[in-house]
Amino acid sequence: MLVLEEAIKKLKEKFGVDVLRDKHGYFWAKVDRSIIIDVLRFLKNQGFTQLVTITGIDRPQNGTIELIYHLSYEENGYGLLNISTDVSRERPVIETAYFIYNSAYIYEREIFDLLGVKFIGHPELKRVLLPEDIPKGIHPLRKDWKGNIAELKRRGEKA
Amino acid sequence: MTTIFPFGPIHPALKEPVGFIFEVEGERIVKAIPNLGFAHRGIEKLLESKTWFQATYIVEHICGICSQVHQSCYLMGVEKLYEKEIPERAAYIRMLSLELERIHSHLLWMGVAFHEAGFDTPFMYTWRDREKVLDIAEAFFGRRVVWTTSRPGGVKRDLTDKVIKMIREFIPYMRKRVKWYEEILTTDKTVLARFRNVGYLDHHKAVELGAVGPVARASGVKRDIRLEDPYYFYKESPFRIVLEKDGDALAKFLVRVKEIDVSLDIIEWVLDNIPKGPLFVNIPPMARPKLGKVISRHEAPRGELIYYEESNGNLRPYRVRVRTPTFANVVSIIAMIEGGYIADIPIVVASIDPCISCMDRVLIIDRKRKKRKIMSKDELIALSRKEFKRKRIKGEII
Repeated sequence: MLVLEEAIKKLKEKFGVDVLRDKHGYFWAKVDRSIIIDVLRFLKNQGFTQLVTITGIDRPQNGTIELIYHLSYEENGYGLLNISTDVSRERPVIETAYFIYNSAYIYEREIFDLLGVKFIGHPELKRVLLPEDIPKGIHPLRKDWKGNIAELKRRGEKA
Repeated sequence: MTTIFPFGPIHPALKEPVGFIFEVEGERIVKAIPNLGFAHRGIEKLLESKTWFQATYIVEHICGICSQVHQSCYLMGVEKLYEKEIPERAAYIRMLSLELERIHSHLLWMGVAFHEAGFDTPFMYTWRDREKVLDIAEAFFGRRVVWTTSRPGGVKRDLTDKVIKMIREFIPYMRKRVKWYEEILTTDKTVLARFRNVGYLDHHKAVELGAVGPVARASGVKRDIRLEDPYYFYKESPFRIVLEKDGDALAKFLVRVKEIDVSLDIIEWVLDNIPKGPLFVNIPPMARPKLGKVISRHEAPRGELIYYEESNGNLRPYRVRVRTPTFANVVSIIAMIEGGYIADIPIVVASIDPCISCMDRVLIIDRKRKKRKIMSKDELIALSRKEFKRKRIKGEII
């Protein structure tokens, strides 16, 4: 675990973020949207070689969408570091992590599809799980979305 | 001249159907774009409207083959939220079901991969061996698919003497078969000719693209959640990581075959060491969990499975996020398929173990001639076999 903790210590020093450890052994940190790409690049060089996934959570009460980047540390001490950041719900825009972690390709497309977060610089940002003929602005994982897709499609065809 | 080549729609019989659009130059694939979601059921949204308990029986329907790993992974998170620890005996039984499932999943995959390459006899053999696992499951859990081993707080059914006897008989039988399969894969010339140097993924790329499971391990990447983040009693069990260096379809084959052997060791260890005790701790179905967010990770037959669960103290989840292994491997499939031949698609796609029946209908559009041709799965497999024959006549295969 030593090497991993050293990497996390460096992260604390460089960006001044608080890294908490929960009782199950996973690390959590929250950073600002503007530095997330720098943080990810730094962490990849420190040995967090795998982006396990990106989770998107809608929080209408705060007016934000939270994105959590789950990074896995490999070699000499395994661990999971979860870096979260907030984007505004009204204008959900964030820089893509595709050029740091290639595996972000599919996760960013998924989050764009289901939550409507736009990743600037993504090579192919379009719907991946839902059919492409669903009208723009429909993102089912947002908490205020309660309709059904079949009905939406019919409405889209009429319009 | 590039030709565009969409790949899909998809057969929902196997898990996670994947579609692709290929750009081909002659027979060679230049670019591949994934096209998913043909079996998207909106389960993450659905779970938000169910209670934590009801969701237990929905998550196991995410995948028809590896249903237990989904249920077990989800429940591990739920038990963390309710701050309950499951009894030891329950954890052992869950491990047993997970390893049995891994064996049956790998055998199923092997059969299909053999079949795609034109070896139908080993396909029959592997599926006959798989039947034995399903028979054990039927005696143990009462059903052959979607076993429902667990409930929140523990497991549902106890090991009976009959099941123990069945498993004890199964272990030496399967060990012999594994040795035999290994022998075929390392010595049979026709098998080697078809699987070697196909669907190659090197170590560096596997790390870069975030490949998981047997796909990563076949390229020599040490990635296995049973080693990284051991759950239940994997730390004490005789688990060992299986690594291959070559990174081609054959290496993926060998990793899976050897993993069956590891699973058998773990099953034997479970039967030898299982303690006596209660099957579950009681969690009242209408109890509310603690506020908080948890992550639980499992090694599914196809790779890492991760659940993110968030509770806001209500009876229903605020958010459950599921990342299945094939979703992580989609990016690697693209890397493996680019630069290969159309005739190799069945084997490359099969080597990753996603949904092979994705190839039910393949549409080939010639961009210049604006011609459309729909190729069925059978035609594509016939093409694959023709390629094999051509190689043999040319003397590329001895």
